[in-house]
Amino acid sequence: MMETKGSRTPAGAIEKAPSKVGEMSEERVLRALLDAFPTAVTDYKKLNDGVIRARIERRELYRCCQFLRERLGFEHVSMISAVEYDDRFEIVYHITCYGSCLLLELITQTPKDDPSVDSVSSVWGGANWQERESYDLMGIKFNNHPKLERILLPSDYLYHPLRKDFKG
Amino acid sequence: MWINMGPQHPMTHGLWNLRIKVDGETIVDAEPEMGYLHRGIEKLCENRTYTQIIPLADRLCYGSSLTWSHLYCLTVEDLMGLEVPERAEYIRVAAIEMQRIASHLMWLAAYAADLGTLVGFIYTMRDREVFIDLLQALSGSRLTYNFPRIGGVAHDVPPNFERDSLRACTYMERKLDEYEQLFEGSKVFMMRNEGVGILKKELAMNLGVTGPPLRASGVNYDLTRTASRDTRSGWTRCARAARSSARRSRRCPRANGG
Amino acid sequence: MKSGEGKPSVGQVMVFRSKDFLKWADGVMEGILRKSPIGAGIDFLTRDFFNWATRNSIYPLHFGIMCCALEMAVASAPRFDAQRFGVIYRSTPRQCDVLLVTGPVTKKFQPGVRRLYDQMPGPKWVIAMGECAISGGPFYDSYSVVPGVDQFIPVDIYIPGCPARPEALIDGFIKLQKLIKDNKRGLLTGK
Repeated sequence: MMETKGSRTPAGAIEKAPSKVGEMSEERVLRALLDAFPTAVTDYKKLNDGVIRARIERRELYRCCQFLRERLGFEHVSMISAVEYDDRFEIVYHITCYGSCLLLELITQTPKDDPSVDSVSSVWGGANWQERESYDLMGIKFNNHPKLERILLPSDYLYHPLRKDFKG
Repeated sequence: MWINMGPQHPMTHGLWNLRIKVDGETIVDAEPEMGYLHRGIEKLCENRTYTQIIPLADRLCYGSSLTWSHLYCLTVEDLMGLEVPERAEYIRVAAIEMQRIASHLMWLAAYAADLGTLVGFIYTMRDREVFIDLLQALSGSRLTYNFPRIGGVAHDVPPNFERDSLRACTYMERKLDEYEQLFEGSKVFMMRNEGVGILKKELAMNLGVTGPPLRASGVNYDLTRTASRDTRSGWTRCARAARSSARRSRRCPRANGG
Repeated sequence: MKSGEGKPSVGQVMVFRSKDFLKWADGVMEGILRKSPIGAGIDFLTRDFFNWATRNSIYPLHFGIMCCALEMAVASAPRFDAQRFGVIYRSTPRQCDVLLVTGPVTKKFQPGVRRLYDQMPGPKWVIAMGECAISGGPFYDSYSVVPGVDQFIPVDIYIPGCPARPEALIDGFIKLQKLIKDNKRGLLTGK
């Protein structure tokens, strides 16, 4: 892997290292989220040791991700995936904190006819390709994404195969 | 000028395209392009039973196929609330670690061949066969094993498996010193590795680098210790906190045998 | 300075553009060698030799797609050693005899495989290694996998297995050698 000049990663996002908050517990994270976004967090629960789930409204998603990274030290987004239900799409973010070994499952939902959320690729560089995959296979649009194009399928492919109405 | 390295290229292992922008002979920018191996496994799983998905999970990453099918079986067992017998857990974990050694030897073979020490390819492939033979005796196949099942494993270990796997591990521990001499004594190999490709810690975490390269960048995080629900007590892994390619290739797993 | 108009005579300085030169040389070859008894004679003497050389120096392409590619690499490892049969992997299709397809071909990559096949100079053969290349394998009903590489290129040898063992690959090479031996052709006349 070479150090390339003019790298395409959003440089502003990575120059500031996250503030060290030390070992955190699941309850502390949930409380911090609720304090920062009292109306946007609609549901929360601790699933397991080191795993917590929270639901957030899509209007506050970008600010919440910035808060998670800068204040709570969640340095790494493991996975961004999308789920289709009868009446909505849910976009699930699995975000990891290496320092405290915590995994946060952040779920946001969009209506069926407008599957779009804000892109978090300027917060975590690793989210860039994950969002392109969700766009490619499920048709979720990510606003302000630097390059929202198909990544796995040919660029002239017409469908979003992982949707329920695609019968292959 | 943009040049395409791939999708068919002997040195970019796997099927992907690296478009590089060159200015004379210096690379100034690069853009990877993937998707030439997208098989639509997620959609295929919609039409298979739970057990039929295990071979598909094997082929997600064929270098580490036991890990993926084990992971899939763990997920289903979690959802169903199944408890796996202890012997089956130990068999799974032992097989995974042996397959991990074989997979890392395969990586080292390809890496050495790319960097000019073709002798590394020969030595590591020979030693990889030791572990492949063990896994073939266990599961019946050399590469995509189809061995874990939901709730355990397909069958018990063959006779003398413990003895053979302990012998293989002792053999490999001796070989580790030989490999260190072989690679660190090779001037070409070290010249192309030392101080090249430095990946800083914050960039590694932000971009989503995981596993050995993350530990080589200085983050002491091991998923097998933190998220493990099965028997891995007493295992240690070293994370050397230096960041170049040379250090990334020096991970040393020390595993309990058998 | 003349360009190649009319038949050049001995002693005349000839200046050709490269395309014209090729056409001229081909015409000479056609007349002297290919259509005459001299060509047939040379072929009769050398056919067996060239065929022996071709079948004992099969050069496949360094082309790994999926799991069978690891077994292809192992086939050149010390234990199975395909090099003793003359099999040396080349990096560019321009220098290869055999296109060894070692995995599923996706619809995104299908034009790429066709292009690789077209770039290979004749005589050329194709070996489909593994179930994915033969018929799509475990992904036969996927939306993005072509069910079998023989849908768009002609295949000579099929090697079953998932993944095909290295011994099976070497057996495939030996069968290809037999195929080449059974179809002896002269280099000049093509018979």
